[in-house]
Amino acid sequence: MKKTLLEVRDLSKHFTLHILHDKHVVGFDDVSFDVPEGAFIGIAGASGSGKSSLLKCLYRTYLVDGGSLNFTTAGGATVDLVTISDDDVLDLRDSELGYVSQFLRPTPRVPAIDLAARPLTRRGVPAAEAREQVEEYFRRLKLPEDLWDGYPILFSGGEQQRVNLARALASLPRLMLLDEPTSALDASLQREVVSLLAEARDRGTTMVGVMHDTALLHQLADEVLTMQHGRIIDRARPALATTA
Amino acid sequence: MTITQTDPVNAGQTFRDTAPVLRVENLTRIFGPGCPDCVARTGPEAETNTCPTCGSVVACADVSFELRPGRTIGIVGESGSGKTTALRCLYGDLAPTSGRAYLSVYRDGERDIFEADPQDRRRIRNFHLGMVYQNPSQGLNLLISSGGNVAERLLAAEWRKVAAIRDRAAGLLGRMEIPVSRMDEIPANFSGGMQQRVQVAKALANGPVVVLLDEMTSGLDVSVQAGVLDLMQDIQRQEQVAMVVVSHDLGVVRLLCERTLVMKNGRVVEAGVTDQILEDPHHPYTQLLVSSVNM
Amino acid sequence: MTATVTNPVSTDQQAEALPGYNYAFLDEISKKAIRRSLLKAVALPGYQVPFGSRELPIARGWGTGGLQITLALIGAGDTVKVIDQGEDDSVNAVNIRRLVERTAPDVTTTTETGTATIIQTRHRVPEQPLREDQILVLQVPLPEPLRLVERREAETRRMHGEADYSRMWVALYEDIVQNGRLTRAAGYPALVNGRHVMTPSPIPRWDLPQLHMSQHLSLFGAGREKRIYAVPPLTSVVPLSFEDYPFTIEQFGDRACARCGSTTSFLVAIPNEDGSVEYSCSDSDWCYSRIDAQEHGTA
Repeated sequence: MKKTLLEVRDLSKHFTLHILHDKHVVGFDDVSFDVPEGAFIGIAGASGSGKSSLLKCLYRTYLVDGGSLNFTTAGGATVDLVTISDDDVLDLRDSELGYVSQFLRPTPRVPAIDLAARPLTRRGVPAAEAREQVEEYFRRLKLPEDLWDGYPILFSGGEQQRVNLARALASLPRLMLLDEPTSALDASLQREVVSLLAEARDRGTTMVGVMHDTALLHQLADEVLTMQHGRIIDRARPALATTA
Repeated sequence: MTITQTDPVNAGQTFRDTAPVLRVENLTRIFGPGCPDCVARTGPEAETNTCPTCGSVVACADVSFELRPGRTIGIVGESGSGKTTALRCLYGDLAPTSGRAYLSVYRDGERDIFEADPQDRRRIRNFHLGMVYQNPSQGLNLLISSGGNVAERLLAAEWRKVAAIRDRAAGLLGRMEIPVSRMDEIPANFSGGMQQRVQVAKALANGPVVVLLDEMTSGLDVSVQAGVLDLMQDIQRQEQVAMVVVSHDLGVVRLLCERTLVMKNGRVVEAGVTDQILEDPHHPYTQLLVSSVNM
Repeated sequence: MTATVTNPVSTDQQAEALPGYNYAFLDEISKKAIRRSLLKAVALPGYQVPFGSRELPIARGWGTGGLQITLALIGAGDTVKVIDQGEDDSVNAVNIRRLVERTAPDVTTTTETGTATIIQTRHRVPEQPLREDQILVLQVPLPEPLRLVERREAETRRMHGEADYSRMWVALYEDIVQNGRLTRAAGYPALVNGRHVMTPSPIPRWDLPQLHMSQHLSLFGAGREKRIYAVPPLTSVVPLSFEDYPFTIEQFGDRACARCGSTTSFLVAIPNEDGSVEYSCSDSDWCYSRIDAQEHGTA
């Protein structure tokens, strides 16, 4: 049996919007699931079901209101992503966590290739080597070569998404969080992304991915959790389902 | 096509050096006579910095944070929120009313730098800290050459070879895109953006463990700001220097800072990873701040 | 009105002193106050100790700081030498010496460096190295070395307190950048005992090494500015300089003193009427002793 990389237990997230007369919004409640090492856990559900919020909670972009997130580090230590310090979260992001957001929020005036290479250079990979690795992903993702040194802030949504994917894939984190990574890509590119993600998995990257495209999700995921109104309402194992 | 990538995941350790270079505990600065009510009767709930009992101004109170090597923390808040006062206490321009601060490089981080005698305090500032002020005239002597301004920091840190000082000054000014041909010119002749870049060169000169930046781009035109911020990001990538960035501008903090403290009426009302502060602000003031800007 | 003076010295001496004046001119309370400042100055080498500068029968700026130190120190058995730019015979030196003679009759005066116990000087240190039983008193017009870079007194005090001398160093650095060398000729700043920067009064650079790890005590008095400071024996006095621009003393090449032929002393240029220039020793005692020795040697 595979070890569990991340144990999500009783996680809940609510928002209080003070500027809207303390309006209370439920993100999600009582979410529990295991992410085994090397697995792809898919999260499906309609807009507003809480799936993006869940993903952001795993990355500390959102703070949770309850529950725990026990993560086993490369060194074998178990840390609760809910309670570790901000500094430790930043270290984990640099070393083991990756996040592919739906929308790239590019740093102004940084060329696409440098932006994508940054997680690698932060880890001490020499700049030239990091760029080389990124270039391979750019090629696979068919990002036109004349854009490599361009500023992503001027790119289309689909081009930005490819920069974003190359950035996460090149850094090959132990746990990669994907939020609608293919929403702006056409079918042929989506297929390329699927095979790139599969290759990443083969090399040991564990993934949690949010996608509204359930067909794609079932193609990739070992388990698909479906969310509705902030709760998990269904758990399916597509691989088992197809063989059954 | 295959990807010939080596697996970098397990190359480094998960957590870097976790010992902070700077640790600040309950930093408080009160202007005025002070009284036992000062802290209790001021702050975000009271919506004032002025103590109703004695009229003293509680510029900042109970500011605490840690900073690890090479990390950047931002302090945001409106003017009068106490962020600049806190920074100036750390640099030694102001004496705090109470509180402690520890630097890893000063007596192994075991002695409060606020308790250091004036000579040690000066050494700490000369050898281990750098500061960039909002107003260049505070951080630079505008009437000595820009090279001389950078040299002053090196001389303070006991560099005693003119050729080496000139090389280092020229290198730093060059990196800040000040032409070497202008290093013997006085900064009074320079534009605001150039003056700020000279300040950065000066602040970095002695290889500090922490650089303190106070509203460094606030006085600049937007296009000039962009250039200075780009250079700061380059510095962050290339130097292992930790930074404290004080700004009222969330855009600056988003670009430069991994963590952010939000201050209001002299208190830290919220602290977190910068993207959390921007995307999931909790304190009403932070929510107001974030919703007020178009990012 | 007759002033009542408490005087510890014998009535004998007082009888011989200038009528109506205390021994060594200053009243005893003032002398004690000055000696207390001197002790503090010796305890904190290079630190400028404030003192209540007294009125003297010479104008401030004419050596009153040095004179007050001399008058506070002298007693029976002392031998005082007074020089001005190396000369024993300048009007100022003669007047000061005469004041000492007339108000302290048991003190002798001399022009010989070797026999003096106290040497008061303006702008020179004698060429002949001093012994541990000798005291050098220097007259200081401007005691604050940081005044050139900072005009506010409170700020210069802070700078000394924090050993914050970077602006002094910048001034030297800028000097090199602009002139290609260190141009400061007299009063060259030096770090005393690794702690305080002082100005050694306007002595030429030539004299500065004489103060470093010397056998004698050097005392500095600034009467107008009301400051006293000291370099005790065997104390380091290091001129501020750079590894690649080291401190150097004046060079006289192959020039020699026109009177005594000395090539190892500080020379001053004396223009002749025909426009040519002659050089001679600045330290007149040094020069005369050499001439004496040469005459006796040949006799």
